[in-house]
Amino acid sequence: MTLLATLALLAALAPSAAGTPIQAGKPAHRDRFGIKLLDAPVSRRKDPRARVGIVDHLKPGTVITRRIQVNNVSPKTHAIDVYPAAATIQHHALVPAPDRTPNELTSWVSTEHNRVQVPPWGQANVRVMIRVPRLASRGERYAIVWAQESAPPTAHRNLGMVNRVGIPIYLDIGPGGEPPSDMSIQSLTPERARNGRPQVIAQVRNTGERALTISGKLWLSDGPGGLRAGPYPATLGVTLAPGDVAPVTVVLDPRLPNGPWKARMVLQSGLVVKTATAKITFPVTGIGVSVALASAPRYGVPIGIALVLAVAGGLFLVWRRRHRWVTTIRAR
Amino acid sequence: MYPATAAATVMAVLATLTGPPADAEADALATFPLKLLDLSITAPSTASLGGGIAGGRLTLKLTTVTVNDSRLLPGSWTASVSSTDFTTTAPVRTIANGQMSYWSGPATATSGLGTFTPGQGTAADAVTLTASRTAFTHTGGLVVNSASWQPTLVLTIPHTAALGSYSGTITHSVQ
Repeated sequence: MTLLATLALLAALAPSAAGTPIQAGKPAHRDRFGIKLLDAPVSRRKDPRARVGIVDHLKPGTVITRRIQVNNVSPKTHAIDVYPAAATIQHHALVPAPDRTPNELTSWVSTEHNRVQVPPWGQANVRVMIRVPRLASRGERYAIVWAQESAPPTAHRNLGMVNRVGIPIYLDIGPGGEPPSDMSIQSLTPERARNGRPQVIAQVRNTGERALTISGKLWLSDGPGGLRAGPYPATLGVTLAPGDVAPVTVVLDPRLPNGPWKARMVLQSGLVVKTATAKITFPVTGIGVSVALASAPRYGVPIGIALVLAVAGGLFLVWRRRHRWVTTIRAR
Repeated sequence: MYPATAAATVMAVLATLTGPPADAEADALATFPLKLLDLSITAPSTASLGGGIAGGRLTLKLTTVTVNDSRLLPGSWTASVSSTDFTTTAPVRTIANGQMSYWSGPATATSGLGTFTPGQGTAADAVTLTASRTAFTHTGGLVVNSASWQPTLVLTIPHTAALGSYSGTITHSVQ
């Protein structure tokens, strides 16, 4: 290394003259603690959702172990509780139940420690074991593994506080392989938000058998003057239970002309990817013209024809019976 | 066919019929280590609600809550808030958690990209804590981000509340 490079390296490594920590300029430090997931299944290496939470499909009778880590970002030892509690998917999001509410899944989950004393600036690894009973019914369940610190109320300070951070569990049970995950983009609707920003809302249906966490992007092309724009990211945080339908929003740049545009939306959850294309025009205000994308059921037309024939045939038979009856009366 | 060969054939067939060998089962459960950073929250601290009279109101600004998301995935987190009922020691009297309302206020500090949405921007948006409520959310780019907010609690004491020393607990949950 040259003298200059060595000097530069030493300058970079030396503490600043004032001796302040590297993140000088951030607000005054306050004790904090965190949680992170340490393992994911090899079979889900490419699935981004398996890095967010404990995601798996297991046969009844299986036992799995995952490690989580609790971190202490403070100069004091902190006592952190680790435990599972129930969660459900409501309003298109994973919603934790209050306190330590149990559910079927939490009864299968145990943690290596209930409470860890995490040293200053240190970590504690905790194993989380999930034992699926032999007679577990099929289907997907949700829970959250929490790392929690409590400051209980005292005689003089009557408001206690509990803070907790969690790792979600999305566990599907069933014999054989993973049930299919799938979604369908039913429509794209251009809108103008109240703040004037153009938006595209995709109506998405979870047509598979596992919960989906939706992310995605939108591209615009063939616009006025041949303009192209994007990609713009979809707003994150939409979680769909099987059968759920929810809007996924993409917010775009306010300088875009109204259109018409060719919009291409690509939505993704884990390894499931769906694309939809539509010609849209942003309205001046409010909600624009929606473009339906879900294809008509394949059996719709033949059923329609069959119905028409059945009705026609029925009417013909009724007419024939009447005609014969009248003839019979006349013959008397 | 020689008996030995026959026996071997039967064994081979049985082996395939009894299911995959133990190795395949273990492979299906194998894991690999993740190198992620964490989702963290400030440590909790107690506060004093102070004294009040029946039919009165107590307002308290809590210490700032900061959430740090260094996970890079999924890019979004939600902080929710809930409250226990407020109770005295024996003989137990209760002020229901519905008498407590919460407003997050705007973000007092943020870092990183994405959309930071306070649960209740102003006092007018305050929500009662009969059920768990959203305190703050972040959605957006796959970046390290953090948000701080200083929530306000307002306890409306019922006219029928008995004298006593009430205490309760507020929980912030982030995932």
